[in-house]
Amino acid sequence: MEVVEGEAFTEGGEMSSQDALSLLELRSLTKIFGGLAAVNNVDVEVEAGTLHAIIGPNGSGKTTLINMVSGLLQPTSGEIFFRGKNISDVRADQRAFMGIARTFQNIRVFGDMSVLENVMVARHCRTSSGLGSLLFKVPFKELNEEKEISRRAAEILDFVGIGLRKDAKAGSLPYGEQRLLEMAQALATDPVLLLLDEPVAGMNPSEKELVKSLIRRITDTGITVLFIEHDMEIVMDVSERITVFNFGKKIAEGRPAEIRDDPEVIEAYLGRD
Amino acid sequence: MFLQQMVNGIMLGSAYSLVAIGYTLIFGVLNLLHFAHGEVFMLGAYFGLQIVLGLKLGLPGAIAGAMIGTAILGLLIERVAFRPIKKEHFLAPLIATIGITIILQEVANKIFGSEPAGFPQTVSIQNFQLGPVGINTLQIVILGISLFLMAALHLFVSKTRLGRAMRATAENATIARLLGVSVNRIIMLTFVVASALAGAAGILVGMAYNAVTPYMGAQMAGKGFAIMLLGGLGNIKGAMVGGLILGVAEILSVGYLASSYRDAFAFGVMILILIFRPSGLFGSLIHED
Amino acid sequence: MEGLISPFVQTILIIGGINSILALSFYLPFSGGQLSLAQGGFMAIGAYASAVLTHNFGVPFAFALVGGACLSSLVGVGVCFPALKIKGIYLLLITLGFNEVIRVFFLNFAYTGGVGGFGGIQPLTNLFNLYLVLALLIIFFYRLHRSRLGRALRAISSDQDAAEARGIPLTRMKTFAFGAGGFIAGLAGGFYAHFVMFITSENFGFHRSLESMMFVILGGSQVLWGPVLGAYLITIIPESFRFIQSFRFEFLGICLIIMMILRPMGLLDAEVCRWKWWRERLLRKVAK
Repeated sequence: MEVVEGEAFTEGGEMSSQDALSLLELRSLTKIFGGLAAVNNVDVEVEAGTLHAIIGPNGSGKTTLINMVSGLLQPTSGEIFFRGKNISDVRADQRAFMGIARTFQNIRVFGDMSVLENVMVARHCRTSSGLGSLLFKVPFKELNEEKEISRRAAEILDFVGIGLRKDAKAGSLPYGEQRLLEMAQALATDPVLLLLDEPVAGMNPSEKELVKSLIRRITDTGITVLFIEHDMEIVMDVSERITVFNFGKKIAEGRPAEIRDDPEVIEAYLGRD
Repeated sequence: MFLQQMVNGIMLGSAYSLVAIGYTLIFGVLNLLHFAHGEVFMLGAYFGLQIVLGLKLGLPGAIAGAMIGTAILGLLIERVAFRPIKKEHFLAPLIATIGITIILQEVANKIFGSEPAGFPQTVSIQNFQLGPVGINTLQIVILGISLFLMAALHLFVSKTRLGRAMRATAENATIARLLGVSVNRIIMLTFVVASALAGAAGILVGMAYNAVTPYMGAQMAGKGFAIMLLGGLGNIKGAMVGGLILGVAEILSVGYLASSYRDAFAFGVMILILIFRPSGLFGSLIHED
Repeated sequence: MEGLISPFVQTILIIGGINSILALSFYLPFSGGQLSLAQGGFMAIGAYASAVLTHNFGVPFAFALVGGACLSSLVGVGVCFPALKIKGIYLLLITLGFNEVIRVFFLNFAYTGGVGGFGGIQPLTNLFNLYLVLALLIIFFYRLHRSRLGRALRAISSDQDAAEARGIPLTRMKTFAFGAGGFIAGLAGGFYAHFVMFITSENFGFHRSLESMMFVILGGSQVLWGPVLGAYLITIIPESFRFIQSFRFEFLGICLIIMMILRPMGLLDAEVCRWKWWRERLLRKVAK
């Protein structure tokens, strides 16, 4: 039987006492592409249980930052700490196991699989039946787990709001529902930290409202959310903390009211909106 | 003796480099592993052979003719087997090139027969002695032509506008398009340049081994892949240096190991590189699209 | 049972069955997004190893088959593991190398006959044991598709990076698919050796790997019946149309290209396999 690998990380979490509050810590994080620093020596702390937004003009390094936190990209220098543990060398799939989940700016769902299967496959790191139960008729273990995966996936789809679409082919879903599907996939990994890359991009106002309330419901369950957004209304409305980027550097950080009045931010970004 | 092997190896390797450059160019610009490139090389040898035998032209004519012939062949392949294929299916273009390989190999087999054909002498062989090493005019010609073509390519890629457009497309086709590059034209150009180089190399290798068979393309393909890996995928400089290295290594291995291992040698090299340094000696191109 | 079927048909059925197993061996890693051109090499190891076990050591056929297949799988994973760890076309290239190295190895390996080949293998393959194994394999693939591992493979095939972000361990899954594919090809090799009774390394060269790929690509690369259909079609068609025989390769090459242009997923895909789809088409035609 395949055993789910947990790289010395337990559900209880290993946290050093001084970092008890900050779930995610980026220290001097830098990413250089061909001579240009997309992310330049950035320090960010995300506190557990908060709704933390990252804003900034296009090309200011926000997605690159998220890609480094999720493990898609390797930093050029700097470190990433999650629950007090240095995860800079941890693989992306292991980070999912540790509790970091994400959505993509350009929606990456598995188009040929059904909506339900898309969410079921995201339960991979929380389940364990493997080759053994495939080969040998150990019906109880595998059947029970399959039923459980299926049930939990349907539950998550309902939570997100597209439960009725579960048998449709993922690629056939309209844009807004595909975004919701991605969020369902991310939630299926039972994350502690959820990274959303422009969750409402390309949506109409009513869809945006749906996503806004979904994000609130997600934080209500205790999940920390770190998201990138351009829609200022939403950012100001839901976030508890905002970090502002420009040209790969952090130029401001604080509560929404502080950010709104910060002259540097206004000059760099809000003024153009 | 060792030095002699080195020289022989460099001469052979320089021709290999020409083919490897083609593989790596096509991979760089199109993100495609062009399986049939070996067959283009093989047909270049046959074109040259026919020109020398049939048209009674000398070596320069043969090489020019073969290069033109393979360039046209490259265009045809692009038109018929690359462009019509939708790129969403990642492996589809590659599999199509495998189809082309099969067709070209069998057609060559049917037209020219599978017996090795010797390359008639087009250059009067004179032997020179440089210290402990002996070379003849044939080797000088092969090395000279290879180096000339490689230099020409290097100038083209680094100094001309088209060459820069090719490099831009290799790095990021979407951005290149935004900058006004006609990506389709560049793709055609890439096929033409790569195929022409392979055509020339076909004649050179045919002359070096004095044997032209329909299966020399398949043999060359393995070496081409090994050189690409050795030098770094998409890395032209790597292909040039890698070709020389493989040529030398191959000659040395024949000298010191049994010759029945020669064919597998290149593959052994591939496996070793992947174990120790997958990005190649000079680094691979990472496609951002 | 055997008496009812002509020897010619029996031969076709056996070759078709062996090819089906070979096709499935390519299909498994392919359904996880990997192109392996090493199936010929795997087949070779399975063939020689099982032949040695039955011929030199009197091991019963079933154990020899499995033993050869296990060896196949282990060697394959051992050699190709460096490429399994990296994303990209590296696996394809290393499998080409692996195939050649195995071919040259057996060409020079005196213990199994070297250039002269390995002869005198007992004809232990028959319709019963071959199709029993094929049936078991089909059941395996059917179950795999619906299982946790099968979903993970399909996800990797669809979008590797997204799959990794959803917590799927890429290297482990790819190693599984590749190793299992090697095992299955080893089985095909064992059956092959004990059918043709004489094998040389030339039986397992690049063309064999190419065949395993063509069965799947042409027959259908998205559903498990595709490889099987492709294997039988490519086995039977050249036999039925004599005039194709001498143009067999060109014909297959052209088929490949046309297929990639028009229908890259092969003849059978997920829709065609579901009888409901046919029912809907029929209803629509009737409604007109």
